[in-house]
Amino acid sequence: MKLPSGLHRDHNFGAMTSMIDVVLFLLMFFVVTSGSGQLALLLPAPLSRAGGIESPNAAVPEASSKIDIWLKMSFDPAVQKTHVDMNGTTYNSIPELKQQLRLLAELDPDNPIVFETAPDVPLGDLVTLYDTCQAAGFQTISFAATPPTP
Amino acid sequence: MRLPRTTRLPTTQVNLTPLIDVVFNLVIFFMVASHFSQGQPIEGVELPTASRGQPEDSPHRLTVTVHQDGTYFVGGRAVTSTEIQEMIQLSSAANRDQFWVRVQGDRQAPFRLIEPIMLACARQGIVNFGFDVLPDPEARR
Repeated sequence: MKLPSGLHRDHNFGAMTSMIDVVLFLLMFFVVTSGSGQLALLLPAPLSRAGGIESPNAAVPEASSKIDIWLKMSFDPAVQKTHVDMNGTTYNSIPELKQQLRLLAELDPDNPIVFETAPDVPLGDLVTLYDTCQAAGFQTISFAATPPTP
Repeated sequence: MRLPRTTRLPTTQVNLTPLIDVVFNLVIFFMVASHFSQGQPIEGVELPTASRGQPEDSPHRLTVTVHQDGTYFVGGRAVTSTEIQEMIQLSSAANRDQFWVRVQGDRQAPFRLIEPIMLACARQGIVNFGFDVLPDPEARR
């Protein structure tokens, strides 16, 4: 006669449903942590400090061979395009201007760049040109501002 | 004949699966919550691209989201241009040299929406200014 075993062990380690749950949660976890988008970076555009140092003696202007490079950006709503005037020469193509800026930077990267941006110019175009100037190696890049009305 | 009494030992088995479920739920909740608690409603804003972008995580910063339609957001809250200028004035009073102002602007947003922020920074003597950008895919090639 076979006697029943005195000890009942439960070897049920869990149902399949729960395991599938865990696998799905793991999947979701890795999908979320892998990041759905690109990390935004910062393009520094340092501003010049306002104000100045007052002195009874007028400062003697230094003789400089630097040429200000003015980038006057305007936007044509008819063709939805940004035009850039660089010291009198108008560029209708941003890639062409980028090439020209790279050449100028190779000649003298100490020439200051001044952006004069029209109100309608898209931020994307401004950032593209600003980025090009930085990448080309220009040391001084600034923005012209409209003087406040009295 | 006396049969031996069946002795059922009390089983103290703990099913770990629901516990793991709950833990993963919590982890996912906190990760998603922390992602959104960074506070910048980036939805609807297509950032410009640039090759010179760099990671910056200064604790003293003000990030202004500028939508194409002219709405400003700071910390997930819609604000006006005047409020932003006040925020810049108040926030920069303590530590001006370490304070950053970041513009998270749509690439189609006109410059007229950005200029007041830049002017407010210049008036307060804030030098640390920048644009949020995405890495330029052409620059990687």
